[in-house]
Amino acid sequence: MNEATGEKDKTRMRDHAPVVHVENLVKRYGELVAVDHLSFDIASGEAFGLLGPNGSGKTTTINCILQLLSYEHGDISLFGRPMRPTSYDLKRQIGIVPQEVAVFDELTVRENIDSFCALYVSDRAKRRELVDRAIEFVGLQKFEKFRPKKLSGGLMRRLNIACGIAHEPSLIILDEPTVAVDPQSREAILGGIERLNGEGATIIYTSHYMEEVERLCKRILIMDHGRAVASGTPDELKAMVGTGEKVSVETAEPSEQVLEDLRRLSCVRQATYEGGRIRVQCLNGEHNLADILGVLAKDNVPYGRVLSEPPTLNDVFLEITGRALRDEA
Amino acid sequence: MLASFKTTVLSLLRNKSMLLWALLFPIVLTCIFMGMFSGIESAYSAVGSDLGIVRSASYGSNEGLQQTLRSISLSTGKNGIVKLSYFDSEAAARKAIADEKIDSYLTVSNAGSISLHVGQRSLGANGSLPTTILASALNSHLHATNAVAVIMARVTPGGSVPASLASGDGVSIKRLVLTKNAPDPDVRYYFSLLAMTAGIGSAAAMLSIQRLQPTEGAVGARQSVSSTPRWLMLVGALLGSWLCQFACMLAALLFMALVARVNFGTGAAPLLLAIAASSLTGCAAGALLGTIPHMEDGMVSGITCLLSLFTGLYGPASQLITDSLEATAPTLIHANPLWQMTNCFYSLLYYDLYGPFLSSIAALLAMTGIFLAIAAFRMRRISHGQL
Ligand SMILES: Nc1ncnc2c1ncn2[C@@H]1O[C@H](COP(=O)(O)OP(=O)(O)OP(=O)(O)O)[C@@H](O)[C@H]1O
Ligand SMILES: [Mg+2]
Repeated sequence: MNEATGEKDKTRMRDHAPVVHVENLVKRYGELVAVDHLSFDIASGEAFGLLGPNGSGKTTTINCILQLLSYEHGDISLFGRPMRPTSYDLKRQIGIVPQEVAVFDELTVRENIDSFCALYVSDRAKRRELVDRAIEFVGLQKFEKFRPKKLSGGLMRRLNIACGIAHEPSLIILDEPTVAVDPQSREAILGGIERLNGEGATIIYTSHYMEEVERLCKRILIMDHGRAVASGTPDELKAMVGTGEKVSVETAEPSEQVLEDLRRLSCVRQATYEGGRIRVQCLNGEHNLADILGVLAKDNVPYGRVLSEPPTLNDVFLEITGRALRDEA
Repeated sequence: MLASFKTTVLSLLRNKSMLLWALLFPIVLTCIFMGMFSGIESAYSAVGSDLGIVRSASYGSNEGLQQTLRSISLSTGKNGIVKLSYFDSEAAARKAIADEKIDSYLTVSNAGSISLHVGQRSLGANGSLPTTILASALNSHLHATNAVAVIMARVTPGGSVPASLASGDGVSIKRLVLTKNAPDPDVRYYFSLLAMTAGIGSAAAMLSIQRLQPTEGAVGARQSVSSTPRWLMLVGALLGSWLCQFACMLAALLFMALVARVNFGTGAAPLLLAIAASSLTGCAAGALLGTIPHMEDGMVSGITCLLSLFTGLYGPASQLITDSLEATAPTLIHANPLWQMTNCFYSLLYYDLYGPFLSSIAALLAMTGIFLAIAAFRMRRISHGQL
């Protein structure tokens, strides 16, 4: 093999290399193991979710990837090259939206975005264009001259995002960008992230709001106590734990016999009556709803509205760890 | 680097506490000093002493004494401090004292000796000050006449002293001054205040360096993950804070020179060098403080106030402490950067040669080097460690 093809192979390998590669990452704070042998890969253009309750090690993992923290053990490479604190050419391609709002109080919205963008782009004309685009992207045109203190919580979060993405990075890391945000701003933020992903950016998104992660991310890694407890697409995760939908049926109070009949179905995990409704928790199955309604018809139970809720990631998490995701304790 | 420089300057110029303490505070203190010192000056100048003179033959023949009195008389002298009135006999003069028309009177005996008679009134409203000044003026006249007599006796042994010389007339006596400019007790306060400005201003560098530490907050972390090398951001931030600090000192200096009319005794270039060096040292000290976790503005002000005690900022007592420490433990006092800054301005005012000034500048630069070296060492250690 001659040298030229060798080089070509290397480039091709890099093109196919995952944008983020984390292998066996271990980070300790004294006795506490904040990240425990964590491994994952993220492909180019993918939206990847890190889901986990408070203190599960999401931020720590991100800080390790960014080399803000030293770690005990593990290999981290970005764009096919090992990441080091001085890998400035790699850092150029990363945009970070930290969990805490990180802006200068004395600078206006525009100046803030410009000041962070200037750390990546020195050309002034180019930067003005980028800053304009970022401001428009987060919808802060009317607030350009505002100081951060005068912005509402949601607008502040949008500024935080604009500061992270103005230099148009190809890997964007967002650490709980929607904490304490009103529904309107949340929708704007989520829509924006979807657009960035649509334009080809690779996204790492952490949150403990499962609906957001489920909406944005094609692949999800669920963390607890620094360990990866499950990973896959949302559907894979749900299939993994065998949890099916929750069915609730409006009826008058049924006899105990009806509930017993329901429980006897192979697809039913639990059946109760409360608040004027029969509530049935199903296992994963093909025709759960038909089976349940079949029992009710057979037992001559008249029923009103029928509701079937698909399983959520919270159910998955509950199943795996025995505790709810939003358990903030 | 340019980005960090710009961000630093912009955010410092808009930082309220920085503007208040580093820019406004020294100017306000200057105004206070102005008020204080103008009070002192008026106390010195509001002297209007009434001096009686008993005319006699021996007074009439003492040309020198007459000339001395003319020079201190309010009606004829440039720096007059006494109002002269003449009496034909000592009894008349004594009566005038008793009637409190005059403060004191002067007689010349037949042998030529001069006596000053002081009445009750001179110890009244104006205190004994006018009389003291009068006495010292007479004393220096007598010294001069004696000196001339002694010199003449040596030059022409046995010969008599020509009357015109013995009276001091026609002899010009030049007053020798050891320093370039006459000592002025006020300037010490202003110079110490300039040093204090540099001290307080170091909070600017502290703040900008803290903002670049990933350990001190999210803004620091965010900048640390950017593609600009860390040391470039640090240099940019330091240059930015230096510029701001220099501007604050310049404002204080201009205010002192133009409004308070403080005599700096030198041209613009050495003064600019002095404030450039002072602000640079302050900046380096700030950088060092910025690497200490959880350092706050208040601590910087505290340290500055303490160090200012040893520059004589707080009046005679603190000046006494400084001077006696300088005599007994010079190394200790010279290690105080604020003392060196004060000394820069002092040297410029009082010495003809630039030696003492340059040695203070050198001391400041050496301190700057030490501060920056320690700061760099500490920053290397925290750059990539625990958040
Ligand atoms: N500087 C630190 N020193 C000691 N322990 C720390 C430190 N930072 C984080 N931890 C601990 O490490 C664990 C992981 O924290 P981390 O911030 O990564 O969690 P997280 O998943 O981001 O949580 P959240 O959803 O609240 O942001 C937690 O138990 C936390 O208490
Ligand atoms: Mg976190």
